[in-house]
Amino acid sequence: MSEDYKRSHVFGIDYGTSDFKYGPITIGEVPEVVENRGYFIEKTSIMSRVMGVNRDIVVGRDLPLFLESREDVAERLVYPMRNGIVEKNDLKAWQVIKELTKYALENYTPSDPDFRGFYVVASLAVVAPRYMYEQLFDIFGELNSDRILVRGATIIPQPLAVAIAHKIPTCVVVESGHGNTQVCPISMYPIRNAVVALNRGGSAASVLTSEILKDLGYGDLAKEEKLVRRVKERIGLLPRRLEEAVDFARKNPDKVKREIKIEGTRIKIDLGDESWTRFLIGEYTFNPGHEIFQSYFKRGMPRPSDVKIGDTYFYGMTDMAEAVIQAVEKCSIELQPHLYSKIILSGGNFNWDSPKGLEEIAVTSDTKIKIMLKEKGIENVQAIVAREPTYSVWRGCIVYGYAVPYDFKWRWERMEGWLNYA
Amino acid sequence: MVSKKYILVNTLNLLSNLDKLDVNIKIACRFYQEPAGWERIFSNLSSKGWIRMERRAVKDEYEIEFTGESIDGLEILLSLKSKNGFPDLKMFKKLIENLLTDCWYIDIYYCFRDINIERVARELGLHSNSNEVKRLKFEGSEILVETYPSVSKVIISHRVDLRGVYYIEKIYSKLLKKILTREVSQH
Repeated sequence: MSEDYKRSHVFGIDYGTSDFKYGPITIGEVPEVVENRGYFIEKTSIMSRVMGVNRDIVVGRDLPLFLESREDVAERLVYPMRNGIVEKNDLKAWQVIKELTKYALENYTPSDPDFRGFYVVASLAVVAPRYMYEQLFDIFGELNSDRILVRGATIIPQPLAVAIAHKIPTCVVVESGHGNTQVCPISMYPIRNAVVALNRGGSAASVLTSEILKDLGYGDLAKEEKLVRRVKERIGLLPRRLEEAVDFARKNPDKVKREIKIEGTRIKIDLGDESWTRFLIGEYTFNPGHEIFQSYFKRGMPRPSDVKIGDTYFYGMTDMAEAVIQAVEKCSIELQPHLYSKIILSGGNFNWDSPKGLEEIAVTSDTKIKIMLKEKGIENVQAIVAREPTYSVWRGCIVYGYAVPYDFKWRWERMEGWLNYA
Repeated sequence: MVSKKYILVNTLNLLSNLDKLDVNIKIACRFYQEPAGWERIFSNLSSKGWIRMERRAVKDEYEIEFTGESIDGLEILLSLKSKNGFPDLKMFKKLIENLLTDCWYIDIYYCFRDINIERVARELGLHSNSNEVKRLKFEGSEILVETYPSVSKVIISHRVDLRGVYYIEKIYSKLLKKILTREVSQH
C-alpha cells in the first residue's frame, strides 16, 4: 500500500450531534450531509414483510420514506448523540452510528478491483470520552466483514480539525453546530482541561424562531422543525447591539421588513411590523441571558439548561464571549494573548450575514464576538469566521488525512496516527 | 424548418447552462524529489497576475485555494473555483502549464455534482444503479471515470506532466464536453 493510494482515498466523517457530514477527498469542498439519526423498522409487521423490507435500521436520505405514525416515530426514531456524546451502553445509539458510517462509506465505495479501503478520518466532539474512540475503531473493523471498506482510520477532535483546516496551530476554536458549542483553546494540540462546552447550538435559535412564528400567528408551521430551521436561516439577523438594532427596526420598518416564501409550497411568511424580532434570533445564539428573552421563558419557552454528560458540564446560559474568556483563562497567562489573537468561529451556527443597507446594525459573527469581548475588557482580539463554517470540520478531516503518512501508526498516548485494518 | 435564430438561442442557452454546472476541481501538485509548497506555487502565480489573499490566489472570476499538503512537502492540494461554473479551457490549460513549471506532475480531479448519472453512465457504458469505475486509455494516458448514483456525482481524474499538458484540451473536447453537453441538453 502506498502513500499515493492513501492520498486519493482519504475519507472524512464529521459526527455532528445533529448533522452527519461525510465524503472522500475527491468530491471537492462540500461534503454530503444527512441527519445523525436512525429509524428502527418494525420487521415483524406484515407490511414490512409484504414490502420486502429486510433492514433493521434505516438511515440517510431514505429515512423519511419509512416513518410511520407519530407514536411509532417517538419510539423508533433514534438520535444517537447528545451534545456530541453517545452513551457507552446505549446499544441502539451505537447501532445507528454503525449504520450511518456504513451508509457513508458505501455511498462512495467503488466497484473497482484495485480498491483496498478508505483511510477514514473521523471527527468527534472534543469532550468525547475515550470509550467513544474505542467503539468507533471497533465499528470500522466490523464494517470490513463483507468487504474491505476501511483500510486505516484515525479520530480527531472537531476543534482540532478546524484548526488544521486553517493551518493555525495556536488559537481558540469555537465550534458551534446545531446541537452544542465547544470552546477549545489549541496550542498544537487541544488543551483539554481548558475546554468550555455549551448546551446550546443552532437548535436553540430554532426554538426561539418557533416562538416568534407562533406570536405572528403561524402556530401550525412552528411545529415543523425543518421548516423553522429554514425560516431561521432566512430571516435571522445578528445585531451589533440589540437595543440599537430593535430601535432602528421600529423606526425604519421598511428597511428590515421581510416576507419569505417556502419553496415548493404555497406558504408565505410575512413578519410585517414585527420584523424587529429578526434580531432576537442572532442575539439569542450569542447571549441568551439578555433580559429581552425573559418574556419568552415566562411563557414557557425552554431555557437552555446546564447539564452534565459523562464528566463534562455543558452550560446553558453562558454568553459566547464569557465562554471564550473562561476557556482562555484556564490556560497559562503567557499563552492567553496569543489565544485571543486568533479566534476561529466554526460551525453552521456562526453563519450570519450582514445584508446590504443594514451593515451598521446587523453584523457577522466575528464582529459580534469582538464587540462582546471588548465590552468585557478584552482588547486586541482577532476573530475570523471559517470559510463555509458548516463544513470546516469535514474539510479539516480531509486535510489531516492527506498530510499524515500512511505508515504513521495510531498511538493512544498522543491520540494520533492511523489504526490499520489491513 | 428550424430557424437559425432558434438554433442560436438554444446553443447559447446550452452554453450558459454548461457554465453553471456545479463542478469542483481539485489539483494535486507533485514536486520532484525536493519539498516545495504554497509559497513557491504562489510566487509563480503572482508573476502571472494572480493576487494573494492569505491561502487563496484570485484572478478575474477564478480562485485557487491552498487546501492541504503532505508532511514530506512533496505534494500540495489546491482547489480551483470559478464563479461561472466550468473554467474557461484556455485559462485552465494556461494555469496547469504554469503550475507544471514547478511541479513534476499534476493529478486533476473534476467532481460534477447533481448530475444526471443515468445519462452519463449510458454515455460511457457504465451501470447507472451502482458505483462504477472505468479506466479509459486516452493517447497513452489513463483517465479514471467514477460514478456514484446514490449521491448523484461523477468524478473524472487524470494525471498530466509538461509533455502531456495538451491532453487537457483533448480530454475536455472528447470527454468532459461531450458528457456535459449531453447532460445539459437533455434536462
